[in-house]
Amino acid sequence: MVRLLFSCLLFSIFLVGCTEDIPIILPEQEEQLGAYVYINQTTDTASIIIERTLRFEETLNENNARLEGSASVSLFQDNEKVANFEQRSSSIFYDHPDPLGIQAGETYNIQIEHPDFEIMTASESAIKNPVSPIIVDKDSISPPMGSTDNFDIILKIEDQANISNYYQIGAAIETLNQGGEQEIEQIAIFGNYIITINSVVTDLQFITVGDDIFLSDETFDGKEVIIFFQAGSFSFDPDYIIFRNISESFYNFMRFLNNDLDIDYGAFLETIPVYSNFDMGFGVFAFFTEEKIIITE
Amino acid sequence: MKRWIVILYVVIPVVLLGQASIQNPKISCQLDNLPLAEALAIISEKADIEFSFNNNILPTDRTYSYSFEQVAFHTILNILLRNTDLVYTELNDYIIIKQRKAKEPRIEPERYSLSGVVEDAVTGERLIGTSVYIAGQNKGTYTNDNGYFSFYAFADSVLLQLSYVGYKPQSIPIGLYENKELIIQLQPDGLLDSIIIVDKRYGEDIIVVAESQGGTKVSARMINKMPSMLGEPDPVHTLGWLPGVQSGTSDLGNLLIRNNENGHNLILLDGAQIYNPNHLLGLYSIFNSSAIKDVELIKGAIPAKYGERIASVVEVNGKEGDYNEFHAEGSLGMIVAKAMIEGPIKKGKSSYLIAGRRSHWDLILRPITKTILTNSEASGGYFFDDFNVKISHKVTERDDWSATAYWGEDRFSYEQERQEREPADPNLSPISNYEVINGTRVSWSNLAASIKWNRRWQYNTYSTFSTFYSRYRFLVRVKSEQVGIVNNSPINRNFNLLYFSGVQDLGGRLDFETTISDDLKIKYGASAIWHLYQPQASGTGFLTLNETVFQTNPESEEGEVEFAPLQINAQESGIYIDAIYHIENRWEIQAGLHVASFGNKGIFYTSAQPRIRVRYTLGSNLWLNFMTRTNQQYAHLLNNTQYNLPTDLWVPSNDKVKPQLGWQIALGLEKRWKKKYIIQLDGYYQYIDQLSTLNPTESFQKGLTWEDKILQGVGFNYGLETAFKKTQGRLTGLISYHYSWAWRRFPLLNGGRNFPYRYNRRHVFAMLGQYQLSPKVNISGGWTISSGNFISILNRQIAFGYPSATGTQTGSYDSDASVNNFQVPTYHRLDLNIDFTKRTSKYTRKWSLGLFNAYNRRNPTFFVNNFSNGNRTLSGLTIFTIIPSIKYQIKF
Repeated sequence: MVRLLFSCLLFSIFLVGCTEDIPIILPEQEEQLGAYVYINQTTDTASIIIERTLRFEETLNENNARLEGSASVSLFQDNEKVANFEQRSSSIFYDHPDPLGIQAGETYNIQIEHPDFEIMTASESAIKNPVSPIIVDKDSISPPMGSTDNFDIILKIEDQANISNYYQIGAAIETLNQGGEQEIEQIAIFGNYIITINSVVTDLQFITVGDDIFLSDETFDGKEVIIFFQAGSFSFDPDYIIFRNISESFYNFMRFLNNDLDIDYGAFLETIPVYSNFDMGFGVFAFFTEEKIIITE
Repeated sequence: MKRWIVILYVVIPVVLLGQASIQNPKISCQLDNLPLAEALAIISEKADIEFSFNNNILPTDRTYSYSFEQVAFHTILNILLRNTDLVYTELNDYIIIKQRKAKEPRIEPERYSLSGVVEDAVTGERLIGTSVYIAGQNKGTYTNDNGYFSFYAFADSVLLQLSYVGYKPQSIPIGLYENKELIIQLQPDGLLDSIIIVDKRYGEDIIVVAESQGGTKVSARMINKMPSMLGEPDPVHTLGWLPGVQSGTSDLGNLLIRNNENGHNLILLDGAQIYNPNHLLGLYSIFNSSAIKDVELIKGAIPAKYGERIASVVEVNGKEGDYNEFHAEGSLGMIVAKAMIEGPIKKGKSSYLIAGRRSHWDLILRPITKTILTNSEASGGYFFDDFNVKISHKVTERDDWSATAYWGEDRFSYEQERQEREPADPNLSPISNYEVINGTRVSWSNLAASIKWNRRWQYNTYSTFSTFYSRYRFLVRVKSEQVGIVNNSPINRNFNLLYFSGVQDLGGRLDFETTISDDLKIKYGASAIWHLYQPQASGTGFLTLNETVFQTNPESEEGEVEFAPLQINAQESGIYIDAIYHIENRWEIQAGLHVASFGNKGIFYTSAQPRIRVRYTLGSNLWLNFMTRTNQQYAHLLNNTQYNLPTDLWVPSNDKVKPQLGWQIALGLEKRWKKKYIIQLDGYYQYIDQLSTLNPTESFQKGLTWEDKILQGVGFNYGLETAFKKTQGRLTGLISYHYSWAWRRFPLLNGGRNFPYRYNRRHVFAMLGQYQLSPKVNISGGWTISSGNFISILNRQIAFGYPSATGTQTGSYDSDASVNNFQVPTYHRLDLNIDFTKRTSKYTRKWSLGLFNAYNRRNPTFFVNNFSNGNRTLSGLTIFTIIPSIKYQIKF
């Protein structure tokens, strides 16, 4: 009996360990558009990119995502057309030659039409009360600029209670290229921001995409936020900092994008769509204001 | 006769002068088929109270047979006259009986309460859900969770009928002439289990409009007879055969009620909440079928007593030990060995039950592992175990208490010791020679304990005071030590890592049940729970519980980073009242209100959660049921994968994460015939506001704080459930079908559009049955087929751009078109089981042979992307193929 039981146990272990692959054919997916519309309220200009999606198994490059034919892009406020954007020649970029006349706090709609795709629309409100950062005690920045030692640049954000604000921060240097022309180069300061909320250090309140950080003040409404840039560990010191107030959709898009880019979609892990505020397509329609904080003259 | 007439004339003037109340002596008399006049004469003589009436008004078409022993005179008079067209008044020492006038009310029958407890005659265990019924009066109820019952009935000589699953029906003649309290013992019915699932709404063999909760109770005896995975019966998986109840992927653990989430169920073990009821990633629940009495699932009309969850209440009642005899039980199955002992501490008064079980694969595999890993002293394995202890004590006829404790753990461990030496040649002097000790342990455990004190305060009030503690914790420990010489220098390196999350409850509750009248019963009470949430999921460094867990070695070359665990204290309290009212035996109305409050770091939520249930008798054995309820849930379960992993976090509501609000409405029909067939049809709609989910793109280990990873949206669940049950006979079973839709909508997901709930299987059909071939052989089987659930699969590459600090950045990301955009293949499975039982006077032994997934359906558990020549397919990985099982069980 013992032998029988033991044999049965081993047999069951063997069976449980069995796995079988069952191929399942995926349904065909329709192509859609991906559109990225950012309106800079400070310069009153727009940056627009429109491409088409590719099947997962295709290799995406500069050419195969490009649209065939031109899309019509229109901006509306209260059902009144504010602007038509024109496609740059042989490009995925669209622009508008004149200032758009964006009004702070107003809600706008964007509409994208293309004969091969369904009409895409999105709605978003322009930034109403942009918040400016305060450089805290600039003289305390030490050691002096140009040193390769660590130093801190301290930004303080006087946050507005009960209002959700979203920020983008990046640092850059101006260099000369081989032709002697001045170029702007962004400093990769990933992992070298320290943020305090009410003097308590936290590393959990921001996300990093590329060389920019994105902040939501939802966790520190009404509190004082100080950001330390530990830039000295890099070979370049920043010449200036770009500080942006961004609309909520922009933040959400970057937050999802950041996670999506970080995830290695292994065998078992499922995913979900990256945030989009477009109907019938992908992408984001967003606003931002921009402030350039000069560190070195 | 003349004397009566004389008295009548003498008395009338006195009546005009005023009335005086007469005494109400207790008398004993025997009425044997007597007409009313003679009956009145006897009680007049016994009580020494004179009657005045005209003989012509007395009915002559009926006779009376009663045996009164010390019964109040007025009670007897009420019984004799209440069904006649007579009335009576009192005058000094006289009773005047006269013809009722046209608009004069009839004599109102006296009512008395009948209360008590029902026990198993052999073991002394209290029986939950026993129907207690007076047939002639259509009055009855069911025993509550502590075996107590109470209801009002008309004063009379009544026949009290009791019935309960697996026990012989009993009829007890009772003279209900005053409030009665009883202790009733039912005899087990022997070998055959005739009923597999009891629906409290129907009762068993009585047809009565009676108090009910809309719950479905599954007894441990039934659970032990059903087919199971690798021969280990499981209460939670058994619930999965009921309509509207689903499990997770490939039957792994989740308990999904009417398309709600796993975290929307309040799971209680003798009153203590269980936060993670799973062993082995959900293959089994933590509930040992040898240590439980029954499981009740309430998914519709949740009583006002409960307000903590929005989907259902699952009450697991621990088994009481035998009050009279010692018993032992042991079994060995394919994966689990278990043992149980029970017996009296003081015969008839107190008892104990101790049960334990352990998986035994690791004991078998350990030698094999050692053989394979020959180059190092490595060992490891996985096991789960759990222990149940219950002590019960009947202090007096009115008081009893019980104490329950549960502890269970799953543990994976790996340890390795090896010696590193450079150069390896033992003839050369070593430059480095050190010992490496590596260890990893992943464990998750539940601890639950409760103490209950039950008291019958008087003939119509019952109370339960309980206090409870529960704890769930998930723990990862990684340890590495290097001790010896490296490059001719001594080293003593220590590296420790601890990851921890958990939740603890400490609370108490006081519940009362009072029968106000034969039409009205109220239940009321209060509860208070202190929660400690420890969602330590956001740390990026090495964590320690406290400084004493890992002490930094002062000689260590590498220090360790320590973070205090995140601790969130929250307080939850509630008061409630439930009123159950009957109108003319046709209507049963249960109206309740649960008022709850929740506090967390100065944030305070309160809610009023009303609910109502109406049951209307449409006709012969045909009922219409309606219910609507609101529930507010302050705790949120965050799952980061599609499987029910122990890493799932419980977190509280706070200023950013709002409580979840569920509103549900349901309408149903029930029909019962021949006392053994039941068919029911229910339609429901549920709206969930502030539904919580973990942002699917977020990881516990990085990025924002836990509260920023929660998304809140709305959910809609609606569908139809139908079930046909045969509850008695050699063949019993259940056929169920669930047709449903479930949608979710979150502002940040899927473009803010609705998407299907992951486990919204549109059609779910199940058949479960057992056939008692002979007293020794029982066959059972279950077949289920359901639409595939939904998963999200990548199907696109999308280019993107955004303005960085210095210009436009571009790239691409992978995505799917919409959340849950792919429906997996249809799931179906057949399970079979056969039991061979041998009973002797000394022991009962049982061999169980089972076949899980009998025809080897390849139901995918995991999905894998495949790429070949530019084409992509999805592969389903099946791990639960056909699995036979054998189990031996013996009871003394």
